[in-house]
Amino acid sequence: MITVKLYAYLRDNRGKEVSIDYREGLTIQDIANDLKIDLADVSIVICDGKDDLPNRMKDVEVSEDSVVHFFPPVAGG
Amino acid sequence: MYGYMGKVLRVNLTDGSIKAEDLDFELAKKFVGGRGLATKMLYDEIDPKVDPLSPDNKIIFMNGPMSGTPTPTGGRYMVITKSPLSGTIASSNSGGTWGARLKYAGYDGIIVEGKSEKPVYLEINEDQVELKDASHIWGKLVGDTTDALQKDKNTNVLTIGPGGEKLNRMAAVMNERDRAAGRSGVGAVMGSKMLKAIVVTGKKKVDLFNEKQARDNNKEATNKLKDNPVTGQGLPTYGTAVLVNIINANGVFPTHNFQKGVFEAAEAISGETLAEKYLVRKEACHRCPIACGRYTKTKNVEGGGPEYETVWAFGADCGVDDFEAIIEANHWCNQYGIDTISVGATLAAAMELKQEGLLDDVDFEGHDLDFGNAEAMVYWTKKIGAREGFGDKMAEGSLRLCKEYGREDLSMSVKGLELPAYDPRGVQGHGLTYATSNRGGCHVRGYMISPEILGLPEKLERLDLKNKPLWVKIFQDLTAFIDSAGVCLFTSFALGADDYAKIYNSIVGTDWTGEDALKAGERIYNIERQFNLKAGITPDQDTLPDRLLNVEMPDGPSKGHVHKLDKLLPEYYSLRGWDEKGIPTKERLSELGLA
Repeated sequence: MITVKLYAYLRDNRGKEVSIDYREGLTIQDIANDLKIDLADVSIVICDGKDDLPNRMKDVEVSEDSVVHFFPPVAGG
Repeated sequence: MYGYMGKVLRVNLTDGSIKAEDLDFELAKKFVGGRGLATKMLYDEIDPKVDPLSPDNKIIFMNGPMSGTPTPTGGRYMVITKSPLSGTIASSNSGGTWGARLKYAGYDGIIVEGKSEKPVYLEINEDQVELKDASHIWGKLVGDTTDALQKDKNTNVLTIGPGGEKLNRMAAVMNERDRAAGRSGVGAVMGSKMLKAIVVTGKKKVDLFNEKQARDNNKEATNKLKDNPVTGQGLPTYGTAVLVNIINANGVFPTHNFQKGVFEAAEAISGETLAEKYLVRKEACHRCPIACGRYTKTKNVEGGGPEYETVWAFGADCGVDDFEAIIEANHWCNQYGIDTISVGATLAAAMELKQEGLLDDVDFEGHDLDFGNAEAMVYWTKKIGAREGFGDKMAEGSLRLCKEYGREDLSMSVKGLELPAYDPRGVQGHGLTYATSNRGGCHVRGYMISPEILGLPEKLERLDLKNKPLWVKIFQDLTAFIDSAGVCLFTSFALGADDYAKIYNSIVGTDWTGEDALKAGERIYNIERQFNLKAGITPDQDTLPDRLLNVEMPDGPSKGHVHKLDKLLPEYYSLRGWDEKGIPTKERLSELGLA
């Protein structure tokens, strides 16, 4: 089971955390598609501790117990 | 003279004299204004070795040319003095409206010198400027003082609270109740001079070089800020605390005084939780289309904030997951006029001293300072504000506190200023900014979190070292320009150096490029460095706490990493044109017009 954590307005109509069944070859892009998230609305993806832009992460294949975070554009300081 | 009002008030509290002096326009352009101009003035006027709390120190309140103009966020001002916390140049920035109001009263800035024998406040109503007896407001909290001095909608009140009066080394200068020039203990310098407040009334207008161009630039910059997903949506909706989750998910959210990098209860203290449970309304500073400010309410208090750094300091750093307690600690910091970052970090240092068994003789009055004790965290925040009991010792800041108990290493500070909310072991460039910031441990002298975590303007691998010194230098120089121009650093999420230069030109009448703005920023960075060197702040203080350099991060996505400062610093010095010991070379100073 893959744990997907969502933040800020990506939670709207989806909730804070979603579990997705693992299937072979499942990518970050597939997960976004399953959750009807347009990766253009995502600024940072973190998958099992590795963070990067969605266009560099979209083809990353996840494993059975991966934890994936999707962040929309946020900032502060 | 465009963009500047052309007058600076000089107020001598020893003899009570007040003079309106002409602004040196060429000097102003060379150092832009705000942070740069006031630092140059302080550098020329005081011996940097001066005792910061003596009458020989001066405190300068200074606007930039964009402040009080139609430029979006054009209302920020700087407080420049020698810091009683770090002994470095103190260079604290605040928003709200007070800075713009000072220009509407006809002044770019105020230089305050000497010391009054009794509490006074300064009242400015355009050409009428008076020092008045403040005995009726001395001792009052920031809210009550503001109520007592507020006149009408054309008046803005800047004040210190009991923190500044009692020479708390973490004291802030407050304006509009809950906007703070928070860092470096600038409020204690006001308190040492017995200056309680500065009340400003005015309705003058700032003359612009090219009104139409300035209006067009304003429209263009405002559109960029509104269209940008960060400044147009993320910050307005959730405020700065929206950072809690992303910083924690990267394992760089300092927890229990930087003993760990992941706080299990981060969600409970996130910007999302704040928006859901405690937000009453969002608030904007003068002419700000972003409106990242929060107005919050709990069963006990209501008011401005808390910001991300505050949420972290009283939250994860102290191991506290009770958001109401964090909001209350923020409230009391605003009321006593003390810096939320340094106070929270000092409480966290005290908690670790206690964890180590070093505070067994301290009377905690039934409120034990243990990690996770929310009630004690709020209790001792108030006691730090009032300088009562053990709070009196903590009011000296974490470095002096930890030194007293023989564990200087437990103060998570650089040059005596407490580090903010990012563990540099997992953000290498950001750690370099901490080590080389001219005011000590500070995140807003070169906010490398932007590229290293948030991917703005492009994503850098946060653990890589390559090119980080160059990024740090450029960010530091651009920030120095922004702080000097009088706008908010958050505009830089959507605007670049060329945008700022274009705005500056239309206001002042120059023909600068983005490169010129960066060069001015570099000049400002170097004059600050020169001040520090003359003050006796040696380059060996360009470092980080031992824990961050030598103890591997124990948990989370940054596990196993330390900060590799020794691999970054030589390249940084070289890029700055400083010698291998960190001293600016004569050649570079000459290039910058500082020799």
